[in-house]
Amino acid sequence: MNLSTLKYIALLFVVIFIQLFILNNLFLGSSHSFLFQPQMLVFFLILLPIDFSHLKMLIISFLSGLLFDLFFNSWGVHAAICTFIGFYRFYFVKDIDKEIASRSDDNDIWTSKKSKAWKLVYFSTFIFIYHFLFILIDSLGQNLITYVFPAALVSSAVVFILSLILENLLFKPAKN
Amino acid sequence: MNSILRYFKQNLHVVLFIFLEILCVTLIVRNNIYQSSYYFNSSKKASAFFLEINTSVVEYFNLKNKYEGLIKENVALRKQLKSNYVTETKQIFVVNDTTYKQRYKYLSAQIISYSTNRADNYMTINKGRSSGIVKGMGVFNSLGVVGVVERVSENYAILNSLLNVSKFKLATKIKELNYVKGRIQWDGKDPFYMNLLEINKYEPMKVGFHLVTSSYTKIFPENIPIGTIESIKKNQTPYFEIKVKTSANFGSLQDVYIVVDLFKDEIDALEQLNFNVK
Repeated sequence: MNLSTLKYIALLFVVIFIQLFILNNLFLGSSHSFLFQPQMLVFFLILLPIDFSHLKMLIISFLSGLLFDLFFNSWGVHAAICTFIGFYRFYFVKDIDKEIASRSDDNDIWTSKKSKAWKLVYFSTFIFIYHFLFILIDSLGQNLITYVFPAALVSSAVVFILSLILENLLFKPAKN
Repeated sequence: MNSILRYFKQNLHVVLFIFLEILCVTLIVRNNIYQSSYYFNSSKKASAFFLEINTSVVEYFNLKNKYEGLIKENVALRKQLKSNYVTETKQIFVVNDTTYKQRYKYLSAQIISYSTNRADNYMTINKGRSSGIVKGMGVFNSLGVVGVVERVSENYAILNSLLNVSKFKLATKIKELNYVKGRIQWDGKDPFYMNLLEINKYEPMKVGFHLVTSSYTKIFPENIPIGTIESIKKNQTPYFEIKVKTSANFGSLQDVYIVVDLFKDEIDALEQLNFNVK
């Protein structure tokens, strides 16, 4: 187990910690709580290394989702979405020069080597997909326009902002 | 087989993805109350829908069997229709005599021609020797006595009508008095009226009395209507002059029954024996 692996395990637990102690309590009891259902696990998924094989990516996504489910008693919901994200993220990042991306210093992350615009698209796409699917499964597809889309958008915005903050806090930008 | 395995090996990530998703959906359905209730309701609806389609398809393919069954049923029902039966049946009904031994059988027939305008009138029926008709059998219809078989061919028979001056005479029983008295004969005039002969003036005859066949004749069973007394006149002779309206309507004759006396041969043979002894 190398340092990089430990780094990602630590990241997973940080995400769980934020979800468990901050996000789940932040909007609890609010009259708009139905709109705010931010899920931080997607942040972990999109930051996973891009040199993972497809199979490895799938298995790690599934297991992390299952771990999240165990913590939040949502049997299978996060696992299903994480597997979906893990599967399609591979196609999204496979064209990136893996050699450059993986060549990082101890505290670097591969996303820091990409442009802000790309990062914006990449982050927002997967964060929205994650939340959309999560709220869709949660509401069983009812009230798609009046509930699922607004809630997915609001929650995604919250997680998107948090993700950018955390990325800058946890990982130093590349020096080169 | 190898190519299939190779394909799966190359696309293992897709297979794994599908497997994991199925696993997740199973977990969701089994462990989340809201989702599971929705799933089971939907699956029941879906299974009902597919079951309905399945039933429709199966029923469609069973239509041929159902159709054949209906045809068979239809044929069976058609066979029971009255219109299917021509008057071929010889035995219409049976009558038991007082000893509870069958004496009379009846055959049905139709009159195909008859006359009423001659002194000696005849009728032709559509049954003959092939149907078991022999000379001397009595013929009546639902209203009363019609005649007696005179000649028989293979498929037809000629009857002596009741309206036959020279050849038809019949002993009668007066129903109201319940004894056999007189004989009936046509006078050749009105086809609706006959004469009751040999009733002497001391008999308590009244208009309206009914005349029926007697048990003394071997031609007809007892109590078949012959006619009703229409008028009674006294003349110089010791007998009444009695006019009888015939029961059978000789203006309209169609279906008749022919009497088969099962004991006739036995009685004839006995009488012949007795005659020979004398």
